[in-house]
Amino acid sequence: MSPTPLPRTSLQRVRTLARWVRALCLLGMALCITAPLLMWGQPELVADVVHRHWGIAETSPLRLDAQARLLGLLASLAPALLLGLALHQVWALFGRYARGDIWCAQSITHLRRAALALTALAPALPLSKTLAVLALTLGNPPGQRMLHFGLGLQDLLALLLGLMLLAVATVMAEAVRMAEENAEFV
Amino acid sequence: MPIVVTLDLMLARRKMRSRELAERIGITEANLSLLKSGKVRGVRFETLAAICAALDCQPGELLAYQPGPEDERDT
Repeated sequence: MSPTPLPRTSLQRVRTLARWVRALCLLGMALCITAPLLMWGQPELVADVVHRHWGIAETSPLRLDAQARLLGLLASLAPALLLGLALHQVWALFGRYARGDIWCAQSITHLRRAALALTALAPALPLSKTLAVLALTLGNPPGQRMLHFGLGLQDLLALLLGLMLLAVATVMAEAVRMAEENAEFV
Repeated sequence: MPIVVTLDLMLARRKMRSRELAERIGITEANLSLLKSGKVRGVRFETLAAICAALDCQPGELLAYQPGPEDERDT
């Protein structure tokens, strides 16, 4: 026996919300693909991001030729893919919500996968920066190649958000079990 | 399960179809069918009261206790 379906007005509200969330997820997924390409395609933008946002001194020499930027793009693929995966799972989750499948095991699976992707993003972000800086300095003479490692607030936030969602998914799995048990009462 | 649901007998006595009873008490025909066959975990008092009102009967006329060999060993 499946849990009691939502009342019509509640389902309509959920459907409206789901439409917006799914649209935002699609936009986010598109940005995950296009933003790295746009960034690494412009040498001036790469230099700006590396110096102003990654904490590399402006006096540090960077190789901004096509090969170095291609390696940098490859290094930044892992976080982009993980974020894209998380957004895809949220998109799928709200697709189920729009169909009224709130309390079902598949919804919990999507939430759990999104949480795991976000949790994995936490170490992937600083690691990708390390590899990207290495890629931009690999062509420098010995003594001018850099191995940079830095942790930022966004890394911690990704980890906290991922762990929080995992906890929510665990509690929701229990709620699904209780809803299914409750549905066996008529 | 030692609790046996005898709703079928009462429906036959009152000459009422399952669909009509389901509509009167506000549950789906599928759930009523599961109740008749005893394949539910339990019945809410609200549902039981609605059935008794619709069929003009007492709860004892809808439910029976038939202990099996395992239940007799427990008692």
